[in-house]
This record gives sequence, structure tokens and C-alpha cells, in this order.
Amino acid sequence: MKRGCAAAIAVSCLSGVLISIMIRLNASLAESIGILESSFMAHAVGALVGFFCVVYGAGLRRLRQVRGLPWSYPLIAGISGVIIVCVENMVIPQVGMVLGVGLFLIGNIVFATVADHFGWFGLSMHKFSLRRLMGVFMAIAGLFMVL
Amino acid sequence: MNIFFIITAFLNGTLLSIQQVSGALLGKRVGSLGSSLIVHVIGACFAGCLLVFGLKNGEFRFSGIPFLYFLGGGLGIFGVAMGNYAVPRIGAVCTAIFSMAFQLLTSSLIDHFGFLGADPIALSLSRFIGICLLIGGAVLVFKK
Repeated sequence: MKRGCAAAIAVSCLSGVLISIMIRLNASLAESIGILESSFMAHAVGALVGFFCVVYGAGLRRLRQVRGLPWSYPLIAGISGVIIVCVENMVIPQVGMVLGVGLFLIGNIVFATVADHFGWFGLSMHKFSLRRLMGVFMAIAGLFMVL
Repeated sequence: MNIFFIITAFLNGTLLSIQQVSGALLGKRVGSLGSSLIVHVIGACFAGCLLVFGLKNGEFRFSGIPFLYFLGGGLGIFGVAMGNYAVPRIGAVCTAIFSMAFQLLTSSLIDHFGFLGADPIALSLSRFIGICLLIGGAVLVFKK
């Protein structure tokens, strides 16, 4: 255990709290002004806050290193971000936070496990283990109890 | 419960994996805050284009909406910054597990009390056990 471990754990927990609040705020905004409109606002406000963070942090100069990377990476990440927020905005008011976030996380876990197994995206290969499979089933069982 | 919403929410999670991978590749070059900035700018442009080309399903108005609702997008950046602090100290796996656990716990509080414009959904015992199972499952999947 390195130093600052407790602080890092607290920060990780707090980030989870903030992400949940963010999802709910975007969904509430979507109920007022529309799904895509809310996704646009979330990205515009995020870009503004991110701009100040980068200017006062690492500086904008480092962004130049994006040159040489294929354009597909930022495009895929940006476009999927918009879709992700739109879907959350659509689903959360219908099924509630726990189920919406739970399904979202399970989709993430299952896909990450499969991608990991087949080594997609050049990730390191981790074969399916019994423990991993049990984890996926346990999470899905938990989801059915929430349902 | 509408099966359509359930499947969509699940597929949305797989999309998140794809976004995380492409965002991380970007982050290796420009840092994760820089990556987040680029992703948000491209996302805003993409959503803006869709809106301009007529995919509206509501209308922009600012009156009568709590100001807080507009700040959601800014919180995502802080989530990234917090990840930057936590990952080198406790590892990506621990960070993901703690963050996911608290996402679910916060979600259950928001549902239970109907915070921030949510319709209240009471936290029953089976719901609570379900959340614990979800967190336990995530720990089993991610732990080395």
C-alpha cells in the first residue's frame, strides 16, 4: 500500500457519487428541454469546464500531440459519448437510477470481459476464469433482484 | 418494465467500454484531462450538428429550469480528474470498483428520496441485496 491510499479511496468513492449526480441531472434536464438538447448541453458545459482545467493544468500545448493519431479515436469517443448520454436521458426517467446505472455497468463489465478474453483493441489477454464468470452471474442475479 | 429500455441500457454499457478504450488511447498522448476535453468538444459539435439538421425533440429554454440541471456536464470532468488522482495510488481496478459501488449506492439514495427531480422508488430489502450482489460481482470480475 502506497501513501495517500485512504485519500485515493475516498476520491474514487466521491467520483462515483459525482457520476451518479451527473447522470440524474442530465436526465432531469432532458425531461425539461429534450434528450439530444440535454446531451448537447452536457458536452458543451463539459468542454468549457475541461478547457479551464487543461489551461490551468497541463496547458493546451500538450493537445498538439494528438497529431499523428488516427482521427477515428477521438471521433469514436466523442460520438459514442453523445449517444451514451442520450440513451441515459431516455432510459433513466423510465426505469429509475439503480436499474439504469446497474444495467449500464453490467453491459460495461460483460463487454470488457469479452473484449479482454479475445484481446480486442490490443488489450492484454485475460482468459475467462471461473471467478470472472461467477462475478458476471452474481452481478446479473443482483440486477434481477433490483428489477 | 419495458424490455426495450433494459436492452438499450445494457448496450449502452458496451458502448461505454468502446469509449473508454478510445479515450484511454487518446489519453496516452494528451493526458486524460486533455482527452476528456477533446471528447467533449467533438461530442458537442456532433450533437450540435444533429440538432441543426433537425433531430430535435424538445426546445432550448432556460427559464423555469433549476440552474443546477445545467451543471451535469461539468461534473464528468471532475470525475476524470479524480480518476487521475486515484489510479496511480490504488490502481485502476480498485478505483473502478469503489467508483462503481458508490455510483450504485448514490443511485439508490437518489431513487429512494427522489432527489434532483427523480420519481421516488423506495429502497426495499431485495433491492438493497441486489445492489450488494452487483458490487460483489464487479469485485469478482475485476480483482486480479
